[in-house]
Amino acid sequence: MIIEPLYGSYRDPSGFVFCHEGSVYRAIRSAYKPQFDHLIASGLADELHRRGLLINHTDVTPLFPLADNISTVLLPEQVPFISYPWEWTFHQLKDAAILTLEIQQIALDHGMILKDASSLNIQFVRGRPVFIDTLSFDFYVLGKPWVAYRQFCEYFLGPVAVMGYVDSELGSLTQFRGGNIPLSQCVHLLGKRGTFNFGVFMHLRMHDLMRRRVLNRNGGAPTPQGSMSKESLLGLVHSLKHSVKKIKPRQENSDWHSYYSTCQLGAEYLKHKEAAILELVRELRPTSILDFGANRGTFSKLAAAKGIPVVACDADRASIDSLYLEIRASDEKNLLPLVVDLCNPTPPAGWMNKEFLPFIERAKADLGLALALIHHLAIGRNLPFAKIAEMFHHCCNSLIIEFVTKDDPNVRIMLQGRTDIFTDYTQGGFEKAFGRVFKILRKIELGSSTRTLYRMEKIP
Amino acid sequence: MKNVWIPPLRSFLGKVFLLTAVMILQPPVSSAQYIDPGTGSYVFQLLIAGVTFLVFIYLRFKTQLIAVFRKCVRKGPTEDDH
Repeated sequence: MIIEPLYGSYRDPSGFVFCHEGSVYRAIRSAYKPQFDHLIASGLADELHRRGLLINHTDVTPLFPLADNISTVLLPEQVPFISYPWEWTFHQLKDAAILTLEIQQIALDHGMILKDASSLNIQFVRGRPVFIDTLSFDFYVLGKPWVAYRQFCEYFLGPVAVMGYVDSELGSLTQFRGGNIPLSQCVHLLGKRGTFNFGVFMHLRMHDLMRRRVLNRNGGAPTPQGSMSKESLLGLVHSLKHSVKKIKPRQENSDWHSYYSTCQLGAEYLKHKEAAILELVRELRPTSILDFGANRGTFSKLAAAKGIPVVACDADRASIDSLYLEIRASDEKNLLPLVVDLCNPTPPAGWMNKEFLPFIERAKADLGLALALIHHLAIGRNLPFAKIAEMFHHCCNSLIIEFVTKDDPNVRIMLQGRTDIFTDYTQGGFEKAFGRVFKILRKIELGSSTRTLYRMEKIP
Repeated sequence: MKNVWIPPLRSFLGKVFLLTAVMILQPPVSSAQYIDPGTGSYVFQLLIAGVTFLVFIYLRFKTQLIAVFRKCVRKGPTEDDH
């Protein structure tokens, strides 16, 4: 058996992640064994597991013939859907930052410290952020400052401040640098905003100033040695936590935030649609659902309440953030809200473009939901039906899709003031294009509206 | 075990003994550090250590400090002060 690290697992020499028979495993190198043993023996791992902060794992070392430099193999709890920080909303990133600092505080109490503080160490499992990198812990050496301080500021504090004080859309900037925004860029983007948050002033502005001064004066000189008491370090962690907590998002205008509450089609349409979707979901019994264009997750929540894992995507950050806050408050465990623009989904990124997988490659579900979406893609973005059908065919086995005719009030608004070039946009054209790759199994007329719900099955 | 002599902790030898014990009991230090902490960030942490120490002290003794402050405020200037 050949254990081959995953392409993106190369940074930390303490171990690597590999795939075997469809499951993800974590191999620990012998050099890291003392730290890992201390993580277990000190009770730190137990406490983090008990609080639900660290992903659970099982030691499966005896199942693998090991090379000399590998000491342990762990089978972590499998993350159902891998997401990246640039697909998260303001509150998702903020919660991930607070989780990292809480883990740091607990680790220090057990004589350990986080040796890295990247947002890539976090995934959302059962509706909440969880730390997935079991190898991020190192021995705490009394007097030593935190090596991951700058990393925390660039991966968490900076992006959260920029999203909160400037524009939440800027969260997508992290995509271009594998999850971070450099300190100098954060300061530049913030301008005068956030000046009254002492933590932001100190950990971003002053920190950047010092970094640049030292860089100019010190060139390639080695890291100076100095001492920082444990109390100071705990104070630093608390100060970062307080700074992150203090950042609140700006009120932003969103065209989509009140889409269903101001729906022109009325309550009867919504009621009928909800009942029809529940019926179809019951009929299909899907193992996973991908809701494309979920808006505030009205229908994702219905499916999640039935115990089905749902990934709810939308390009509108404000809607997805509202959905996240809602599921956080209600402790919903089956729903993962993500910011994804279907017309420009997350591209591959990182080293050789293989480190971070594109959304389309990760987006595989048993059932796809595309409700009140087709007109936005076909008319709003000029996409031919055949291309839309191709995308759904790639992502899901079954599809529940709503067709919206040109007589619909929303479509009429979309066509106002522009030439109607969409001669193929007819129900017949839709059925013909989708019929090439899907088998249409059922059609449900939605109340008094001109909209129709289709249940389709993929033609392999 | 009865014959093992432990120096009184107040004496110089006692302090040396305690320090040695602490050093022995500390976990083995073999750093697994792999990221560049950044010289500027490192220096900056050392510079703000005083401020963050005060943050820690405030949090640790928050209730006591607030109680003392309130006591002082409530007490106000007494006749003895005049």
